[in-house]
Amino acid sequence: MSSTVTVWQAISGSGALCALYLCAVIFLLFTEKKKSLRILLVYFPLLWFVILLCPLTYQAAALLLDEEIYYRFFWVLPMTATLAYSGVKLYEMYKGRFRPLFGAAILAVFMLCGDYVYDNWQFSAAENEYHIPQAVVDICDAMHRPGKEVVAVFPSELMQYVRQYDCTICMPYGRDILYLNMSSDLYTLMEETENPDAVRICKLAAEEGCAYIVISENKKVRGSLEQCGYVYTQTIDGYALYFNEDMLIG
Amino acid sequence: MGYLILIFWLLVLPVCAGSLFQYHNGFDPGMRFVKGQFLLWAVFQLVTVPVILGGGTLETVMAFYLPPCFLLALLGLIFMIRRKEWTKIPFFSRGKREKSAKASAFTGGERIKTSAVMHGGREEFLLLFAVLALWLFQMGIVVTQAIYDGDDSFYMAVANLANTNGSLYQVNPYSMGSMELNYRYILAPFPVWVALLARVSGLHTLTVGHVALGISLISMSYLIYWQIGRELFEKKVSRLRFMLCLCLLYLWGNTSIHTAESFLITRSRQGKALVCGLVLPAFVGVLLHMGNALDQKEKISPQVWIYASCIMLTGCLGSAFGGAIVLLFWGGLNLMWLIAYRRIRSFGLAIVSALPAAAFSLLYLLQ
Repeated sequence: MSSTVTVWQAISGSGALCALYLCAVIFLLFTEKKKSLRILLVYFPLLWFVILLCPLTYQAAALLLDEEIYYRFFWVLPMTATLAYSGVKLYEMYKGRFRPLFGAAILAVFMLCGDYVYDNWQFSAAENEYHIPQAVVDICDAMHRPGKEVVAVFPSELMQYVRQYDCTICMPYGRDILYLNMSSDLYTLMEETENPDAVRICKLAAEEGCAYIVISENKKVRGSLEQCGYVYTQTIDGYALYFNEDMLIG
Repeated sequence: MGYLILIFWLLVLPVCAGSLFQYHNGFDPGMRFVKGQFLLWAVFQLVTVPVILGGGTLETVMAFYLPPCFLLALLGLIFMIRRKEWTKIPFFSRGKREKSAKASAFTGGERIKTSAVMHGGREEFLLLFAVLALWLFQMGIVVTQAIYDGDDSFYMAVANLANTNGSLYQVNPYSMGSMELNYRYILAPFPVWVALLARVSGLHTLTVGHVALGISLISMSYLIYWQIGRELFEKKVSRLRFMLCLCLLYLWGNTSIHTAESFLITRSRQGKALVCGLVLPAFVGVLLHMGNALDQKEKISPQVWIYASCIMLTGCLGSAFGGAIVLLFWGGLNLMWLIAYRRIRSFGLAIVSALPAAAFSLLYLLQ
């Protein structure tokens, strides 16, 4: 039971909007006359909800599918449509003189129970038409060799955008390293905050066939990256590029 | 030019293909667009999965998908012309309406009617203004704000790889090297559709995914909810009230990162958003329509079953798991209706319409 409840808690957040949804379902249970609507918006969601909260369902889903995506079963509950429908129905049932205020209060309740989507950390002003950091665009453009693949190692804050923008640029590791429990000495070294060893970075990058090493200007490394065949070429948007021509493919 | 081509692919083609279905509420371009898009997505799913399993490339997908896609649009266009459906567009039917208004005014009933329309019209106008303003606000955000999502490093990179060198799920999108065959991804080739749009328009996959699809899919979601409102309410003013509630519930729907609203707004270029933001609401719309028919003991049109089948296939296109969810929803509700209405024929047709999507879901479960 705890697993299913945990999933439900993860979806519902503070739980206010879900509590409001439950109120809307109960409201429709007593006021909705149409049989098909009662089945679609009241009986079926209640049954679905009970089935989903059942630990056996969770275990069966974990066995057959992936338990991490169990939350998607809850998408079937027509929450938004039911809330909006109940809101309008409730508003239209009230015929008093404070009707506009009543309507505004319903909308205010929706807003207070929910959470504004655009104030979360995922949003930032777009820097270009691709909606990825401009540094990635500039660095990839500088590395791009028409008709050739180039291997480069990037800091973790950039690596996830690189192949979205230019897939001719290959990397020894990508974002999968963060969640697939993969290990890479080069990644560990690149992300080390306490002055990583430049010679070791160069050696490992060369072993992985990297023609470029991209490193933040703010990162202080021990020694120089130019000691083992890599040459400083330029600094783009705060990232220094080191190039080793011998590593170019083809 | 690329944006104009995208408008053709994301608007004109679906509207034409959607004209294969019949409409009883005037010209209804919104529903034509929605139904046409689901039809084209269903065809895309049927064509693309076998191509990927056969080791084909984006060029192969285009060779098999473009002919039926254009054929459906052309047939829709022919249907539209043969049924003289342009006469349902308010601009073309104005002459007729003016004539009937004059006749009605002659009888003296028009003054009362006009006054009532104007009274309801003020609220309708304000509601319409508020809904359009909220929609425009969202469109503005889609264009001006970048949305971070880590999963893009897989989905958008897959689309970019397909667009750049045609390879479909053969190269590791994260770093380099080859990729193991993973049915979970292969059975839901939505990124390939993004790649196809980028290829035909000449725009970058990121621009298509982040900007064009954001605008198109969020708008389509609102059109689907407008259709739901039409099934729920008779009066236009009630539908507009419904839409206003809905806009606010969308904007304040980020109670967690797992809600359908969060997915649609923050990850509109990913197949999962297609499932929760478009497929499931469209399903609710179809089920409401069918429920109304069952309540009134009317026959459910064969077009409804075809449309439902297209929605289920689109669920598979968005996410392999999404297809399974949609099928469970469809199966569960039709079973309840069988018990409540005892319409065995409808239940049988519901099973038949689910068969194409069930084949994909079965493949996913058995892999």
